[in-house]
Amino acid sequence: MGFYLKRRLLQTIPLLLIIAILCFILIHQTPGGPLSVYTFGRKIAPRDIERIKDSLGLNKPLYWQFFYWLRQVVFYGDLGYSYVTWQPVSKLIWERLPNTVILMFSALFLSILFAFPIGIFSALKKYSLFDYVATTFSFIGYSIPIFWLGLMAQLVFSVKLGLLPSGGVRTPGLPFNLLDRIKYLVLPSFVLALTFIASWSRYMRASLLGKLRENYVITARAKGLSEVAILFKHVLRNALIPVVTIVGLQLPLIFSGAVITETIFAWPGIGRLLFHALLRRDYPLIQGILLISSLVVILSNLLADIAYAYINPRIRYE
Amino acid sequence: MNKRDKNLTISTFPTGIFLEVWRRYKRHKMALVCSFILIFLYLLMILAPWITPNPNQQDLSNRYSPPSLKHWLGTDELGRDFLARLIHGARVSLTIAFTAVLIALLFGILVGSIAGYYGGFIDNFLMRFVDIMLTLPELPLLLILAVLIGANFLTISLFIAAFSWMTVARLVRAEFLGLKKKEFIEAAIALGASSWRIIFRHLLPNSLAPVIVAATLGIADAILIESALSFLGFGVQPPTPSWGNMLTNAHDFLWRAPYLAIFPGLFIALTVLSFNYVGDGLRDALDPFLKE
Amino acid sequence: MQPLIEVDNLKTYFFLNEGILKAVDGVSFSLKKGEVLGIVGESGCGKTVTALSILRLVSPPGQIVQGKVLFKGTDLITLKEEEMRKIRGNRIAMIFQDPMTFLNPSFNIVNQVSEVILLHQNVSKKEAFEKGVNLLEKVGIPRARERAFNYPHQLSGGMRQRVMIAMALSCQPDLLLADEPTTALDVTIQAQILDLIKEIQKETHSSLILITHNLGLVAGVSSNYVMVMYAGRTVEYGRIEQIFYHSAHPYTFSLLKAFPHLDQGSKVKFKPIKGLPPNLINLPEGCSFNPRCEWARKKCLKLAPKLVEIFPEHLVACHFPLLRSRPSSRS
Repeated sequence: MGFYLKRRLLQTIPLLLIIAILCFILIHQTPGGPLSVYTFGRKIAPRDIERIKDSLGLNKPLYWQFFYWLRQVVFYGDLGYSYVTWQPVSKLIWERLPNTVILMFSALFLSILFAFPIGIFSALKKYSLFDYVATTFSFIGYSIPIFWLGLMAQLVFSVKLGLLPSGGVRTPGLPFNLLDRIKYLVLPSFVLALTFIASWSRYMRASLLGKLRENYVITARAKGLSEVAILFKHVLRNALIPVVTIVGLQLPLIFSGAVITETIFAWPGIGRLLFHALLRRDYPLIQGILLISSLVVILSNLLADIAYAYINPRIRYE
Repeated sequence: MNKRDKNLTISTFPTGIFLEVWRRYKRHKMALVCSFILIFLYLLMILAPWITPNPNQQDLSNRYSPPSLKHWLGTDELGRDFLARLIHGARVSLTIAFTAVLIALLFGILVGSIAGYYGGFIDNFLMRFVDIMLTLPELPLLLILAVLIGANFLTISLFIAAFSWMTVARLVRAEFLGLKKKEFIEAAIALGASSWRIIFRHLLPNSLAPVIVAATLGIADAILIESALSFLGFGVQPPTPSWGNMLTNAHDFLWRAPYLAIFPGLFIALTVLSFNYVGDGLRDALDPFLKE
Repeated sequence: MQPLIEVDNLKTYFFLNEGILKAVDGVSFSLKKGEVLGIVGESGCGKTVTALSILRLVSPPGQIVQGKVLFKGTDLITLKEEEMRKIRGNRIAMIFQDPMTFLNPSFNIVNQVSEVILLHQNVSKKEAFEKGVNLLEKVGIPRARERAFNYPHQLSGGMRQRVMIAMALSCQPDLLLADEPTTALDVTIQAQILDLIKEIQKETHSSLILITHNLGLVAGVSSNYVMVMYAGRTVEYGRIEQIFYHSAHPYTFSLLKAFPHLDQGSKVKFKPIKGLPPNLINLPEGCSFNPRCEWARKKCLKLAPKLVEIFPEHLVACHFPLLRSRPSSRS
């Protein structure tokens, strides 16, 4: 497993480099380039511009600028300053990141909590009423646009029934209160989770049905094991392997979904921060968010890889 | 007839692939219903200029009017006929989705063919690239691209395509790798057929089935992504209606006229659902041509 | 002596969209303690389904539609599922053909062996583990204590089959069913595995049913009886020497001829059986073997032959059994 993880870690290095280059290009492609921090909405004499350029190293070759920028990011966590608020980008992101992580992991948790049992039950009662309903539900589930689902959830649970708050993370002015936080978390995390409940339950069903046909199931029966023991001991473990792969592959999708969900539910995470940064063309902030969100996605992918290696002995003992 | 012949006649040679596919497709009732929904939607789209009022005709004295005989689905915040906007929105959304999928198909087939046919280092390199693309956070990048480069029909289609060709590439590559081991391909290579000939005459036609299914499901995904982009305000720009941007101000509708928030979403969901079911039906119908 | 197992007119059908596939269509035999029966036939003749039916492991669309399987006097077919589970892996154990796919890739080998012990014997986890390691040692896995934690993919084919055998042996069963135990292995390993099975069968004095398409293997484990199956039915049954030296069914005769004898050198021509095994859903009328039979006559196209005892303990289902080498003709 050590070898496998080392290889995985090494593989993320080119990925990180590509993302870093993308981010660097981004700031240079913006109208006015990196200078626009100083020129934005102001008139500055050409002589001063040259002076600023010199002091920022903008007259140096591009690769020098790239490595300088990279050094600042990696060693000092310096992502520049927001055009709009003039606060450090890293500080803005750092404030919002926990909220996004909370939302993503709640959605992930809910997705697994619902998708796996639904998938398992569908596979066991193949072509039953439950299976039929679950199939239809999942088709509808991944056909509904997530932002519309969010709006409908607000319409029903906030506007009509008044049961749950329609946005935010907690009741303003109230001290920290877990129940209050959960109340605010329910709608966005369920809305975010629905697509994944829909698709992962299908994957689980398909994978389980495939593994139930494997020969080692016959062996297990020939040993005298009960069907329940066979399912939970022999089949499920093998069925989980491809499902975990898919869950890992779809983690970027959860992040994409979080951007939309945060926007609708006024959830102060980095998705919503990105939305506002985009509206105001706040390029340093956009760049920083892109970098951090890529990191989040890569890290969660690595977690999925570890989980995958853990349940798959072929990788664990390579 | 001799009894020995009876056993031989069981394996008759398949005649009329399309007839066979259609026969299997018909068995999938939901797919059949959904194809009719899509055909109906398509007709609506084509006939839109003649059967609906001008979708951009404002009538400020008649804002947020509820559904009536004159305006079947009521009017929006500027007094425009909502149904007309929905149907014209379909034209926009579906055109973008189709264009995006077409581009993704072409690029995916190209990359998949090269990787699958040549293998080795090229294959490794291209597949690593596919892996990296699959790891990137799609929506944030789409939004950033839309802001940096600007959003119009073509760029939106291109952006969506840029993040959706990977599935096709993987499928085509996998098919090619499988087919390359088959005798008839080996024979063609041994006979000295050119690479292009082998790819276009032998490999591609035999890999089409999974690509067709993936393309159908891809349209569903493209519609969802376009609508999300436009909803957030970085896709199709008003006043041109698209299913996504009709919901941009939906937070305000929720209180005044909830149906304005309900219908565009229903249209999206129904269309996407239809494409998903049609894709599922095609998967079943093309089953004999699919691996596994 | 009362037979250990008695199979009577067993019928297992598969109900498919295309029709009813009669995988096993009226098979009967019996076996005493310590005896060995070889079931021989081409692939798809119902050998494996017969074994699976004894353990009641046929899953839908397959179904046992008729027959009795008396094991120590109890009918397994009508037994409750929980009671049946106590017999599987405990009193009757099965060794499968392909040890790679029949072993679970996600569990280490000792786990898969001790699982059976834990299930059927009243022992602690630690004891079950020790027993598992001992069994692995016994079936010839070198450095068994270390290798116990290996996963199937880390072992060679022969080693995997040894694990399979250890699993089957773990509760000292009265009856071992071995379904093509050597087919998936290298030729050099085949003999070792066969010797192992033979040795263990002798030592534990259990009965063995060996299922194979290879008549040589039947001789290799010194079977007492041989049953030849074709298209779901028994076509010939007898003591091994009767089958080998006085085969009476044309199919058995062709099987023996299709089997190259090294000792006879080039004198006897190696002769494959012409034609393909029949489609079990759409069987030919009359005798199932008639399309491939050299000696088929009109009667064979019309009427299916019944299994009759032509000599003591020698049964044949053929209208015109081959009796050339017998001292006396048909009785």
